[in-house]
Amino acid sequence: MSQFQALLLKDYRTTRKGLLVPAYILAGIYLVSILAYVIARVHFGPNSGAVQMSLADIPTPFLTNMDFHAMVSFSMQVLMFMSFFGIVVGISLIVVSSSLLNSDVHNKCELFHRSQPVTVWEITGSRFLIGIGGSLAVALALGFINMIVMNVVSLIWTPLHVNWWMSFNGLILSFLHIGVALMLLGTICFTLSAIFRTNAFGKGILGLGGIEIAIQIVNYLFRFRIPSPSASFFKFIMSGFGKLNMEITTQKYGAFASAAAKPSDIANFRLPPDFLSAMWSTLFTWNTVEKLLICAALYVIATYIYQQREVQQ
Amino acid sequence: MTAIMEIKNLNKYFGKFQALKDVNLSIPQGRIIGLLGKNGAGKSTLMRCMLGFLKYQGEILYHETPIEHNDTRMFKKIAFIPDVSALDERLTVQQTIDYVRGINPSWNDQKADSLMEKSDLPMKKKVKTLSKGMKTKLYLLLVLSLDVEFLLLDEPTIGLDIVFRKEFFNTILGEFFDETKTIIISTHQVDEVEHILQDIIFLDQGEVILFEDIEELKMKYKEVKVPREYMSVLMQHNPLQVWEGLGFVHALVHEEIDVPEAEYATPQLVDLFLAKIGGRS
Repeated sequence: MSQFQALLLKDYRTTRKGLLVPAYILAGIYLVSILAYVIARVHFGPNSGAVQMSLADIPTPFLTNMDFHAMVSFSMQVLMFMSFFGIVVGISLIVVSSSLLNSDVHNKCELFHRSQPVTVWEITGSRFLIGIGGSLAVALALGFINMIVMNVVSLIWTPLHVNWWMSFNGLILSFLHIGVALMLLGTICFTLSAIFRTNAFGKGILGLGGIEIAIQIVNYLFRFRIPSPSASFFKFIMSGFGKLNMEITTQKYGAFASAAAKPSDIANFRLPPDFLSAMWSTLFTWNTVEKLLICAALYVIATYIYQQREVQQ
Repeated sequence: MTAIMEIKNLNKYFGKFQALKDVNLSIPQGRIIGLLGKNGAGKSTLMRCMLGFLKYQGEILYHETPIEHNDTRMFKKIAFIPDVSALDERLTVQQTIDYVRGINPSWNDQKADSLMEKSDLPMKKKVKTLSKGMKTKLYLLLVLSLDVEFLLLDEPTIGLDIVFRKEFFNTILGEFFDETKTIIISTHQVDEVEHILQDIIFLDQGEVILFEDIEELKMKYKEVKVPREYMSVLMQHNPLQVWEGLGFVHALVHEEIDVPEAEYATPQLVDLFLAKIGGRS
């Protein structure tokens, strides 16, 4: 085993609990769903409308338009990742990455780890890969499991014709979009953990809040129009997958997204042949490159700050 | 004697507080050196500077190579046991051993296996569940499994019972030390390690008061024991340290001094320490 592998393995072992929080939440949701299903079965019986959708209730266009079903398969994964995984993994990532460079201090073992023959770059590299890369890997694995569960449930209990290829594309594409944004968020927290030994995220938010208030005061006093840094930052983070979401919900592709869609609209809905390539093109943009470059720069800055810190225990 | 480490004009400040004051030391290779000082004398700070954990002013050279802050290259040849239980309590004993083995090119499997055979460490248990003695035993096992040439021990047996403390230092002597290895031990239990030390450093308020071969140091002084009524005679010789016993008065005096009716003995390190440092602050 190489030195770096040993570091990775140790960091995985010490960070594992935090990384698996989204898995526990997803397992909890599944458990509650299964319990709800069992209770409904016991309470209302096997043929209850509450449990099983009747094919007769579904308008014909829904059942016959395969393009529509493909779009649903794609969109379900995108929406799932944008909502549930984006939020749960995002929160977990903030918690994990905000303490990545301070967990040894909190666990009073900094002297032990820092008296090993590995460079600070190797230490931060391993923490970054396990903390941020690990969180994203967990998100992808859970997304994959969830895709299978959702599709199997759809096949058994709904009249949907699951399109696995479109589901897979939706999953990977939304994962990459969310992944880049979350990586940026995680790298910012990682940098905060290099700056502050305790409550890194809280102190970072406090600092940002202070800057916001200062800008508002300056704008008010001098009638400037300095934009809000947090709003600009949020807009920048959201810009990538916002575009993906927008593409799906526009008139061009958006039959599914419109709640007011009539059965006739759905019957006439056709997926353009360039649908998938158009969706993928939302990822390969300068905006994505910018985010990745900022991540790399922040990693270098965080490592430099960490290197300057004294080992105190 | 070749120096393994040279410390030149070392100063360390924590804010306005000066923890180390112009420390100059030449640590010889192949010696067991004691580092003695009261609480807050700067022993741990000195060790942490030597290991590059802290930023400092001055120069520290390890085999003539300057030690930079956070320079981890030297840990290929230097091992350290701190005064606090610094092991990662989130890992099991086996995981801790695997980690140190994987990360240290100087890990010696043969030595580690032999030490593990003798130990009764519960491999599957988390480190946090171990007693303080067991944690120290594990730390010692890890450090002794490395082929390093320089070992720094910062109060390694603090809070442990006397049997374990004896076992600890005997293991260090038996399993680690030879004439090519260097050990610096910082400890409060001077009397327990006195027999294994060859050189001694007295540190007080961040200053090196003395750095000497213990045998040579002891030859410069002697312990005098006189009946209580001879105390005034004894005091005429300006003893470095005086303490009372049952019916007798003991004192530490320079070797050349002769006191009538006195019994002489080789001084203890702790008395020399008290004589040199006891009255300073």
